[in-house]
Parts: sequence; structure tokens; C-alpha cells
Amino acid sequence: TYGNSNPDSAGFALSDFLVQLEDYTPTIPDAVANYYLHQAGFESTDPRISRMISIASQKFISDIINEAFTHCKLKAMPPAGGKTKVKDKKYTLTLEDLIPILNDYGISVKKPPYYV
Amino acid sequence: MDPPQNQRRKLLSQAVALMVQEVGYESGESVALEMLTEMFQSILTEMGRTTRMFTELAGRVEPTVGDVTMALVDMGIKVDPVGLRAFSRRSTKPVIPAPGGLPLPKV
Repeated sequence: TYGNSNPDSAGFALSDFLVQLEDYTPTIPDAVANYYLHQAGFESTDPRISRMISIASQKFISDIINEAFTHCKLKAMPPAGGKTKVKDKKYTLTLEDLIPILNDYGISVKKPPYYV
Repeated sequence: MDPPQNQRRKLLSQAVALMVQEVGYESGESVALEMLTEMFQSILTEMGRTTRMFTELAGRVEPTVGDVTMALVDMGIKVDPVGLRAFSRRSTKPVIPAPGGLPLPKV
């Protein structure tokens, strides 16, 4: 069961996390997160709950970007044994990096057949 | 699209851009950024909707942590309090200041 008192392996539950959100400022302002939550019918008198949702969705997006970056870096690495070292390489987030990661997450995306 | 929605959407795309920059990217394709922004908005809305659903299913009005947990499970997102805590406390966390003058959502 996933009750709110059910601790994870480290003994730290989501409800323990909630109490730490009292004076927390997420990346996106609460007003913006609340607007979208409100659009979905979500309403709470406890700002910590909406903050938690805001953080959870941010983490979801951030994890995807992180994985895409790891992928991108691996792809850009010179083949083993090669002497050419890539220094100060500038990485650009592209759809090609993102699509395989999203497919892993079960989100099927295709490159649009037009230029944007 | 009405202007206030554009304002909020702008903030979302700012957040996405900050996250992209944070992991080490120098730049991003506008298609990719736009897609992530759309996903961000969708997941936020969907999480609100699902949490609300579980709250009402239990016959309550006020959402609880359990409802959020159930929503995460229902959406197939791993419930990871330790990871969330680490994420919320990361030293590189950017913060977008709350804009003044955003109209309150219509009830």
C-alpha cells in the first residue's frame, strides 16, 4: 500500500517531506503552479500540498533533461583510444536527444515533419 | 490565447530553460524547449486533476499527502520522497521571482 505513513527504504516518507515545504520557494512561483492546478479543479488550503505537486512535476521534467544530457555527452565523447580531446564543448538540447528518452518514459513523440 | 495565460506560459518556459541550462546545456532547440514546456504544463494540470479525483473518491474536499501519492502512482511516476527532497534542496536550484499583478484565477 502507498499510504501517507508508509516509509520508503530510508525511512523517509512523503509526509515527512511535506513538513519541510513550509518556507520553501519552488522554481516556478506558487501563483503560476496554483493557476494550472486550479484549472484542473485542484484546490487546497494548504500551500504545501500544491508546492509538493509543483516540485514533483519539476523533477519529472528535470529528470528527462538530465537523462538527455547524459545521452548527449556520451554521444559526443571521442572513441576510446582516440587522442582528440573535446574541450569546452557546447551542448545543445535537440529533439533527437529528447525523443529516445521520452520513448523510454513511455511518451511517444515524433519529430514534426515541418520546420518550426 | 488570453494574455494572462501567455504570462504564465512564459514563466513555465523560463523554468524549463533554467532547468535545461542547469544540467549543462548551452542552448536548446526551440522545438525541444517548447515541447518540454507543453509537457510541464500537462503534467502539472494532470497531477492536479488526478489528486483531486482521489480526494473526491475518498469523500473529502481537502487533498492529503496520500492523495498526491496515489496520483503519482496512478500516473506511473515513481514515488521517491528522498529523491524529491534531494531535488528540492539542490544547491543549483534557480528561483523565478513571483510576478506582481497576475490576476487571480477565476473560481
